[in-house]
Amino acid sequence: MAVEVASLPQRRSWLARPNALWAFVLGILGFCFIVWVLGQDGGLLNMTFGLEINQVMFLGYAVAVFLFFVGLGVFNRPVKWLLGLPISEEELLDEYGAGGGVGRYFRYTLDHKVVGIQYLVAVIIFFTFGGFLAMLIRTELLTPNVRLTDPETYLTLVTEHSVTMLIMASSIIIGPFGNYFIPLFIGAKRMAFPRVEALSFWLFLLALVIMPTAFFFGGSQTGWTGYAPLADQMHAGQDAYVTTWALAGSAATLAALNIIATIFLMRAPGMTWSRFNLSTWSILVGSILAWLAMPIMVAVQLMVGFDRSFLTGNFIPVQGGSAFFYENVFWTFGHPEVYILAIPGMGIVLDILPVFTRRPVYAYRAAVVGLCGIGLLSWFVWQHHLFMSGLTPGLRPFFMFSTEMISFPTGLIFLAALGTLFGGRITFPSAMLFALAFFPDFLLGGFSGIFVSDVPTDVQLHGSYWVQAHFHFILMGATLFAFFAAVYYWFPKMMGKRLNETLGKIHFWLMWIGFNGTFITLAIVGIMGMSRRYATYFPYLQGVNVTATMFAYLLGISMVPFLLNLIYTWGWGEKAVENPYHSRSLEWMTPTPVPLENFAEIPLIVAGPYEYQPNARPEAILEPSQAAGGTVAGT
Amino acid sequence: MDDTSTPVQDAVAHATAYIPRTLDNRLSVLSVRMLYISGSFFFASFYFGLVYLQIINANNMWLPHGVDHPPTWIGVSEMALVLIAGTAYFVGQWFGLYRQKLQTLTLGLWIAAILTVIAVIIHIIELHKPGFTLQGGGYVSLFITIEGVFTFVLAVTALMLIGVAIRATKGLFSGGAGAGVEAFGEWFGWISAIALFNFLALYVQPFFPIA
Ligand SMILES: [Cu+2]
Repeated sequence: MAVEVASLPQRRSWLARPNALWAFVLGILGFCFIVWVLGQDGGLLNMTFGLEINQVMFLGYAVAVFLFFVGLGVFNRPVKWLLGLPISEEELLDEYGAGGGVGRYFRYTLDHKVVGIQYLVAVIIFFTFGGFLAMLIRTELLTPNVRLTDPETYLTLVTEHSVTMLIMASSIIIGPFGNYFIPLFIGAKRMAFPRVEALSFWLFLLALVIMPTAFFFGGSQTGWTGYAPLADQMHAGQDAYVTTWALAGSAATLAALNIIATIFLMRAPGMTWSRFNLSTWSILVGSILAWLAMPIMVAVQLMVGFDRSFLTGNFIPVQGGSAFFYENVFWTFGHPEVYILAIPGMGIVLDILPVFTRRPVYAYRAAVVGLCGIGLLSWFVWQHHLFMSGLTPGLRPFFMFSTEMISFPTGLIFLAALGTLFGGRITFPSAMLFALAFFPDFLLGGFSGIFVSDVPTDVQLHGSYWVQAHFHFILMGATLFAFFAAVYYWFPKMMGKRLNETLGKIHFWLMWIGFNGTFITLAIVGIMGMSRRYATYFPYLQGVNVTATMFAYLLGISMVPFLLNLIYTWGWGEKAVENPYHSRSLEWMTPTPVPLENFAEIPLIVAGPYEYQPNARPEAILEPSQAAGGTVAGT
Repeated sequence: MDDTSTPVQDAVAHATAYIPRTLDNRLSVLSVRMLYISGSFFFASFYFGLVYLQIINANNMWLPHGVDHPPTWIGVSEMALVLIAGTAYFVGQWFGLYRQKLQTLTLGLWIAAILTVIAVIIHIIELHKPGFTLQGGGYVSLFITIEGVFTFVLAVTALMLIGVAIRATKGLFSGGAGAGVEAFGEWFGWISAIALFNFLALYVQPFFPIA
């Protein structure tokens, strides 16, 4: 499609068109009307149709989601298509946000770069919210007795923190950077399915907005795993948990589907699989996991939803159900979920190392094998979460072995990183610091994991703070540091300005010390015998808990320089040039800001993304002549 | 093509000649394939439950005495309607679309759409009066869950099918523009497979127990 912004028709006032404001107004009104007017005791739904509270809750959420999408205008185009009505090119361009302006960030905009930035902002907001909940949890744990909350509220805080963080982190790389950069990495003018992509973002947003509504309905005390039949017996707040995961699972499936299809079919000529940068590989592997694992979570939560609202007994033993059924299906999703979070970050940091060492990535093929190997193995380890559940002990050696096998492909990732650093001319901007921190933290995560994958030690450590420290090293130490590396690294391309380096370094050191201080201490707390998910503990544990909380506060404070940095850069930041790091990778060969169609011509890819040796040719020819077309492709 | 070609070769030649393999057309088909592969993982989670709860048989409550499936005519007609609809769609696609006989296509799509709507209605009847109480054991729980979820999926499919039929009526699939019919046809093929599988898994297998 040709882009002639000047030819766009006079647009209607923003109030007269579908946007996020209308979506939220309609959604919230719809929900309140169903739950508090029609659905109250003695109300229409209750008296006439005999609906119980959980049925009313699910109906409320369903109506809210539907009206939200009506307000956002999601259905306009599909309905037109189904009725066979035409759509003009101007309308289409407008849907892509071709007119520019801030408003497109608050609409159902189809441009993948707008969606990427929507994801980025949403991820930062929900990370801040989840982090605030973590601070409340740590504050409660300053004393051995309950002071700030009560046990139920404490557990609700734990659930809210964990669900928010897990769903946020499932999209933390794939959402902002996958959507924004995959077309730029592979030389495409757009994503495969822009509508699916935009839908995935708004579903993701809705999921995380619905989760805190649990606070109004008695909360949810199950933790992020939502084990049934406990979940079947929970307050109405658990319905928010079920709805949140159903929406977030659908969102992640759709986002992944779009990214995979884009990588398969939208590549520029000459973009062979061995010329992908490692970010493309890792986002592809993470997306394949999300595409296949997330539907399982949607299914298992629907079963909980049926148990809660229609009184079926899928997970209730007296009704012929089984808790093991839940645990098995949940963890079949749950372990790949860990790698949906972690794998995309690995490619990101491996892509940043070469730029600041001025060397090609070492053992590229081994790194790709590593990424794929981790993704494949993640399907065969789920019962390591059930060693202590009483489920068939004879299966434990297999799952112990398969889990420990993951060290091998992970080792290849470390091999690639060390080889790239070895002998390089290393510089240390903030992006590089965050990328480097990924490795020791991920290593600690892996080491602490060996002890819980090993049955004899897991018997001791199961359910303790050791486990909690272990997965925070993976989820936060690895994924979140990779996220910040990516933010500092790609901010100039996304926003046209460079984040301040001084504030960036303050952010890094505060966060790194705060993070490691918190979770090394919590690992020790675990060895000392403290269990997860209790608001109280034995008085002898208070000293270490206070230490952990102080480090956690430092970790919380480390976000202040980052947020200040965003504000400062927004107002006074140094304008970025097209390729500030002299990277050899394709995404830096586009102008800043990136135009609507990314590239004026589909580029011709003639080399890999890591050509740092002297006199190497650039990755792509941006305006290929017709003659070059068929010959270079595929070499 | 020459006169010696078999009917199958003939049909395939028509098909490949008619729909151009543009990027957008390939994307449509790929999206549907990816969607039903993830959908298969989704339904597999429920089917796993059918096997698992049956083997565990907690408290002898998988299938207590006296619990039976809903009337056989309901299960058979649910499956048969979707399969016949799928056949009508298939005929419309292969003998209408690919041979540029748009009336055949339109007729096939409308038959498929109407049969699917009837199938949705029968599903609602089935869920409304299944003939057992919801606390009637593991089989009953999974029956209600699977049929409940499938009814929703089938209803959305029926809506889309009506849309595809409307577009066919308006002649929007003429002149090589039929990739949407092809892609949605693959989706409907998957739906037919799930309908068949649901019948076997819910109406037949539990009454010939494996354990
Ligand atoms: Cu695991």
